[in-house]
Amino acid sequence: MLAEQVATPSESAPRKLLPRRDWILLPLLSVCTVVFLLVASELVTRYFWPAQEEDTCFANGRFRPNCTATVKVPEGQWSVDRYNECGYRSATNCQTKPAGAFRIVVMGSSGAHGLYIPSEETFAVKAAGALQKQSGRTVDVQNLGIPNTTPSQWYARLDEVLALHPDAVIFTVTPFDVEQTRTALSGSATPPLKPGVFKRIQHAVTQSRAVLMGQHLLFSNRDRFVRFYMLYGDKADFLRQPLTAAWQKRYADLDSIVARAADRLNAAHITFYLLAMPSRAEAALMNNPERPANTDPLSFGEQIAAIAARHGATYIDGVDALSHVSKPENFFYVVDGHIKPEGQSLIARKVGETIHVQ
Amino acid sequence: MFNSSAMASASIGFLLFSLVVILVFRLSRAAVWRQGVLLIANLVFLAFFVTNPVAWLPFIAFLAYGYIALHLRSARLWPLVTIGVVAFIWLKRYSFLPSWSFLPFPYVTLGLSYIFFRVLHLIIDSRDSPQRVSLVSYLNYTLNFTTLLSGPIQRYQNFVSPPLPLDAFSAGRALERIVIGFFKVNVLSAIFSGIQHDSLAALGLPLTFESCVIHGAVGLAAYPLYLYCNFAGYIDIVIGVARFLDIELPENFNRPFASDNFMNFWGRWHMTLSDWLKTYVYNPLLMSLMRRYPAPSTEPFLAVFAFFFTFFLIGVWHGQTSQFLVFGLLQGLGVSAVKLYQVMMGKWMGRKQYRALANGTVYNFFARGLTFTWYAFTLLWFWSNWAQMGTLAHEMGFIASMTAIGVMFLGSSLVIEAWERLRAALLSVRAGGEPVVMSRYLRTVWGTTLAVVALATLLLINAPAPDIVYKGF
Repeated sequence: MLAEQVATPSESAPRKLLPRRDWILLPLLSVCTVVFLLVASELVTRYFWPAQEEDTCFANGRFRPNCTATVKVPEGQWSVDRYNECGYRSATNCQTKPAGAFRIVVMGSSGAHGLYIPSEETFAVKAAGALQKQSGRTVDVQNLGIPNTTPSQWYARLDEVLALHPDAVIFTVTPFDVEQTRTALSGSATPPLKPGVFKRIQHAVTQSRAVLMGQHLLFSNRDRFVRFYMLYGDKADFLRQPLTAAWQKRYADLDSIVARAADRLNAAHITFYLLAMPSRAEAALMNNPERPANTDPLSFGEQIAAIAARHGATYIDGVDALSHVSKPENFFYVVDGHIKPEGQSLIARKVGETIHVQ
Repeated sequence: MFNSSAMASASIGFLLFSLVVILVFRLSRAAVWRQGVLLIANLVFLAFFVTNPVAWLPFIAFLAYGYIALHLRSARLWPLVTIGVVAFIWLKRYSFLPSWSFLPFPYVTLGLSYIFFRVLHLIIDSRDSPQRVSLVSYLNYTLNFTTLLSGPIQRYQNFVSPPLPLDAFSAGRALERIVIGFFKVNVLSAIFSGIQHDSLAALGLPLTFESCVIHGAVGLAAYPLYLYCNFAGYIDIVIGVARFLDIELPENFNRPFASDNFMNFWGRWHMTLSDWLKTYVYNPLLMSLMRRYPAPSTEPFLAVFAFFFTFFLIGVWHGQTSQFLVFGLLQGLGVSAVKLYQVMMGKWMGRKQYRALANGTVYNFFARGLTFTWYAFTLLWFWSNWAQMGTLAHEMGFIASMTAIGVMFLGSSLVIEAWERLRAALLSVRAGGEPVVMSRYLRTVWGTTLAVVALATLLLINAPAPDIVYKGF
């Protein structure tokens, strides 16, 4: 741009020969520039966006009891995760229910766990605090949420839940959980294939902090994010109307899991709650005048509500919690996709409004 | 039927296609080989867009008219030119023509706006030139894939002039042009487009007066910057590609936002278009008017009229609807107002004093901002339609709109002045007789940086949107 129209040697002037050293020097300069840019951008972004995404307390599908770990997603804040003697993300004792306390057990995946969010900012803790204030009764919350688990895995832990003698159990369901439902049910006996070179390169690129920052900048724009997200086929189909057969099957599978859980919890006189926690894609479609045709961001919540109603569970409308705020997509981490502390607060308020502590 | 995205000039697809053509082209120095390769490349390029042969028929007929007309040297010129103009207007479906007169099937008009200029230029200039134009030369000139979509408008005599040898320096400069163009289109123009879109979207929300003014000013100002980066970037790419094919395409932009008046602006923006119209419309029209009205006192006013008419045509050429009619009127108004102003200031102050005033720093500071602001304002009729303009006017209101234009005027004056000073400062640092920033070593580093950023941006925007990730689990 600077060079534009600056006088350069005329094509008709006597021809100069490029010095021999430049045949090596110029390409070398180019290669060095590329290497420098890649390394510098990675170092700079890692400096400004440090991360510790691995929770060192996690092993063999559970959190180690009495363990503490520090985690951080690049886009978020440092968070200290403390796990009690049962390996639950709770400040209170799991084995002994405090006398007169109202015990809530929260189950789910990362949304319930409050991944990358300080414990005190999770909806579980915030809701417990609000309920305690409202009712005057001690509210104890045991957070059994484990990231990357499915509803069938939550159901498999129901004996463990019942042993805690809860007064209320909350299944926290996100669209990702429903998407994974069939995968977990079908199970796969085949071990994953060793990734090829291209996959390994692709993986390395996706681990790049500079790429993540670029994605963050790019997809902070709601319309751009929606446009690209809707390019997904099956993954985005839960937002499209009418529902595809695959998603109908997934909801049916969730329904059968909830039915079995409801039977056992009702038999034990435990109030069963189903909390629908929306995704960033849903949030980006809410109150969006440029929402693509044939999409419905409220559909996920309606499906979960219907499942709850069919089996005597109480529905907590986490989707509604975000639908009344301006730019709800900003309550989620752009690249990571998980809900931020501000979003957890909105969910907590909804939980506090729905649960009755007697 | 129409699939042009893969061959958009700023795409990887276009660059790969160009690379293949260049490699095959350079396999032999024989003129027959090179002409043949270019012809095949041009036809293959067209085929990427439309493969239905019926859709090509009107396009082929227009080319055939051009070839036949340029060989009818004994025939009267104006009827031939009139046929060409009428055919162009009809094929482009200008809105003032009745819709029943249009062809009832979809057909190709790809690049027709530029082919029209090339064909007319050939027909008009063939009267004076004894040079025979072969069919292959004619097709390669009119269908040149590097200039088909958006110019520049090259003259035939330059197209067929002896090929320039490609040495390391010119190859390096050509590659640099391609990289800069790629960056302008894929990064800068995308940024400005995003800024404009966000600003205009914000105007639909409840805003304070100040926010409304800022968003309005930014939304208006972002579009000419987007247009420049997009168009000039494309030109950079094709100039670079053509250079590898031993074709030196003319420049189309010369730092247009440094212009101190609107007439000067059109001497720096889409230069080949204004140059063509100056040669084939303005000059003949002015000569004709001066013959008809020979009084010396009328000459400046005849020039004003000729300017108005010429730039009105520029506007109308850009599009077929009433918005482009107004766009053309505003271009004509801007240029003729400048001409009138210059004539009157010259008479009032004396030419020497007026020239001294026009070269002053403060005068230039405001003149550049005014030029930019006028162009940005006229572009409203270029990028929006009547309904959108109505909505904008309603959202902003009269006072906010006028204030936004004022803010844009001051803001653009400041930014352009800052940029010009920065540029001058950077170019003033010299070593070995040339500015340091122009050294090939620094330009290699800069070009590589732009290429990496542009490629990274392309990769990012072509990746799927992020979804929930469980990296630690």
